[in-house]
Amino acid sequence: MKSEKAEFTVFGFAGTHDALRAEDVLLEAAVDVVLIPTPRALGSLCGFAVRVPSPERIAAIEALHAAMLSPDGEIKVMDRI
Amino acid sequence: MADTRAIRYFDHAATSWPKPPVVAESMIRAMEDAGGNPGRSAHELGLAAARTVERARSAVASLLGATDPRDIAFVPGCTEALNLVLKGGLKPGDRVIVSSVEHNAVVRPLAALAEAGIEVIRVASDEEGLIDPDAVELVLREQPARMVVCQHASNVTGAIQPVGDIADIAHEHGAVFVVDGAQSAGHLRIDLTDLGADAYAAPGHKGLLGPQGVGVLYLARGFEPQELVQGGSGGRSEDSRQPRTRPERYEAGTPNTFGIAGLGAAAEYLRAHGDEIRARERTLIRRLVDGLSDIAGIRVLGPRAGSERVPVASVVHSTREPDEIAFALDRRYGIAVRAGVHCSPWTHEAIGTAETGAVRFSVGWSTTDDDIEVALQAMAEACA
Repeated sequence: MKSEKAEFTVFGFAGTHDALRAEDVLLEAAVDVVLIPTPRALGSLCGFAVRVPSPERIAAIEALHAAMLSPDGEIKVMDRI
Repeated sequence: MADTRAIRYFDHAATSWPKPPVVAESMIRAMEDAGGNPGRSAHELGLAAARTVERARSAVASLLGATDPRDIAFVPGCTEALNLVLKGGLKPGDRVIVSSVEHNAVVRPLAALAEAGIEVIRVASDEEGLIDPDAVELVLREQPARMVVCQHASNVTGAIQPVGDIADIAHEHGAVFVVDGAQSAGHLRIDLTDLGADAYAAPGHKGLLGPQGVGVLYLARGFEPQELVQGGSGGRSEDSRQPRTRPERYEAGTPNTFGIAGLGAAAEYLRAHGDEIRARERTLIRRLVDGLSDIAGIRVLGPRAGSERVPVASVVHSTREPDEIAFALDRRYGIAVRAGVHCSPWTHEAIGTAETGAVRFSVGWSTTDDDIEVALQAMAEACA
């Protein structure tokens, strides 16, 4: 089966509570969010990170800021859809 | 197996029993559907476990009036929470001012700290076991301290301490204020934002109606005691030092996820039914105190009849020993009470019952009017 790669933005958080809250906030904002194991490139923050499609990055950041959540790291990753 | 249907349970101050059914249900559900390690792995079971813990944290924070759930740490119990605050918040050369009616969960860590060079000053209570805030201020004025420690309510007398006033006084004198909430959480409406405590410790298994093995430590922002235990937190693993973020700093190692699930369900239950439960407990303890006071030879300890108290009533009899009464109540009537000094020798010393101890009745969410009437009848017969 052929699959294509897409660009995602991954936000890391210092603690589990913030990462889970970020997921809730982004779901509420209708952002396509998935919790993933924290990529090594983010350093070792909490055990999981928040992945969103890069086209939804701005909407995600706005929603996180509105909820007073500040990611402790951010990277871009290419992944298969 | 004992037939628990016949038990009239008056030992809620030690452990509430039975629990609301949602507590066991949520624990089993967590074990079956959320059995991964919370905060570590991003697979389905790990995430489910993490969500279970964080949902419980939010429920407990909301119940207790903490605005930020990250200020709530889950610890193995109230005793560990108090040890953390006392040992992590004091250092040799410091002075701590403490009420003279504290439980051994405070008394014993302070005894260990005294041996390590921390000065411990006790503030006397009145004969009802109540602490006068002015007495605390008097001591603080003459002997400034790093910390003031006071129970919210007594597990012996049921006395409710004026912790709001004591918090103001402690802060005016530059001390942090630590509250042992073992007997208040669940039994009194708690608003940690208003209370003014820098630290509030509570067991999950008493008035909060959760299982044994999990407790709650609230720390106000700005008070950062040294953690008791260092270890894995699920994050920043390359750093050999314990993270400073909350609550990870105070939750090293794998938590008691199933216990936390039970406590979270209990907190939700109390959010829905707490006002009604507290009103019923107040009515029942008043009836119990009045009835016990009417039995010849019985003296009810603590606040005088009609005064507010948490649902605890301890009594002494003019001729019968507490253990003799407790044994008779258990064997002849199936009534569960606790005799002795209740891990609170300081309190018994303060109210003059150090030699005898007392029989303690403690009421909870499941106590009925009929339980009270049966207990009063049994006491009248056992003490005749």
